Amino acid sequence: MKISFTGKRTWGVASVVFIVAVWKLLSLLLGSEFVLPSPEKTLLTTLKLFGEKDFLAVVGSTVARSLAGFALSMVLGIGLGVAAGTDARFNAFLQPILVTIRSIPVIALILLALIWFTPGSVPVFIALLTMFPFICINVIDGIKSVDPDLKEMAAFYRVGRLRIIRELYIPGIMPFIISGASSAMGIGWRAIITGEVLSQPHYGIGTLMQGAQTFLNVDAVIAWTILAVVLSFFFEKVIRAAEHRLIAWKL
Amino acid sequence: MPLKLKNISKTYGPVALYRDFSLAFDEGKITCILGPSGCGKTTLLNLIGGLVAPDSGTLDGFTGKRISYIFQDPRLLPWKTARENIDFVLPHDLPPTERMHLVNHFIELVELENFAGYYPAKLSGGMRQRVAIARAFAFPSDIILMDEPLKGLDVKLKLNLIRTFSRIWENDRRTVIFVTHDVEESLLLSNEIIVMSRAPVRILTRQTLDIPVPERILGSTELGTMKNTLIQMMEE
Repeated sequence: MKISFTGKRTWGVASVVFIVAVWKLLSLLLGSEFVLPSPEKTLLTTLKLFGEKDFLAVVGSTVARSLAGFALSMVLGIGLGVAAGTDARFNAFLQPILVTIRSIPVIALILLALIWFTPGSVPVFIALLTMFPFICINVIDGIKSVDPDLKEMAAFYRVGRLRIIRELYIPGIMPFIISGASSAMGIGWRAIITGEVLSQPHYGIGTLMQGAQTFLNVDAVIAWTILAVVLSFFFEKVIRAAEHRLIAWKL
Repeated sequence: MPLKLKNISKTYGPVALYRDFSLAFDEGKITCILGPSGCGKTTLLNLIGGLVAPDSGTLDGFTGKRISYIFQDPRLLPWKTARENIDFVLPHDLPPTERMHLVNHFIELVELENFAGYYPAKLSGGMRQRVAIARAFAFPSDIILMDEPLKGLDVKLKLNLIRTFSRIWENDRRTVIFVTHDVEESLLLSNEIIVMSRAPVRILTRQTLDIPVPERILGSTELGTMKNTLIQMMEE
């Protein structure tokens, strides 16, 4: 077992080395810092970001926006998902709305949000609309998959509706919520940065990316991108850790 | 007040399961409904439990009665420990100390005190069914309904569960109504055996067994004679 685990890790590292090697090769071939800076220069720029004035405010604002969007999506997604999953009529009502939201291009949402909201809240709104359908749909699917025998048992013992929702449905759909949260965070995080690029809030990763692009600081654009990827990776880790705790009964 | 089904009729699609069917149960006894598969035994339990309404006829003495259930499979919530599974069904108006007392008491009676904090996945099949038995008794019910609770278990496990069940029941004396198609189960566990026919259901015979449950041995002459009678009735 251990050998295969180490093996997997080796391949993971090999993949990163491969990406960096291709990048280095391309930068040498193109031969221009303005088109594609070298990996080492970009790495240096990335490290320098940490020393930049307002670094924490910038990253903190973007993270706070994503967490706010995520929290709102979870509440709304679980709430509406449970309602739709337990009531066929509400589900029929909600489905077209979910399909519509999911079909709207993110960029159209951003353009409308720019008209409706302040720059700081545009990304939160975007995050909400991109994340919430994922969670909601997963919750509805999860509820459909709850063991009918357990539902029957709870009904036979006349367990209260609230307790059934809290202790039968919610834990039963937890794996679905986790997987919904994971996809939502992946999509939502990208949407938030896109939103920031266009709405230009005072602090935000997207704001600085746009600024760097304007001045052709390609290394800075990539540096912020790397940071965004690392943060996204970190969120995924947190969600997986939560999964481990929340579905301990499975292990 | 005796428990009675009076002139019950119940039809599912083209099948008239019950037509003008009447039956009385003795309180404080284990009554077994014995009958072939598909004869409407589960429907009978659902009628008694109030989950299905009869097309016509009445049920007397069941209103306001609390009912607990033991199913063929244990039906435990996989994310709750043995202890939490029992607590899950307890009425919410019970104070926490009493809930805890009830849970602990019945966990001990099914001899699972060392496994109370285990999730079902970590328990054996027999242990899981014992949690289900503890749950049924811990629930402050007037009647326990059982739907083929021993189906599919091996003989040793069956006898083990019957012993556990009857040991608790001896001190509890709750009304138990259980359905099965297995003659031996009915012989080992019940005070009254009612043999039902195929649909539309008629009562073929009603037998009383006076031997205390713990003293029953399948090979004994008394149970042997009774077994033959029951099998004869079922084959008719």
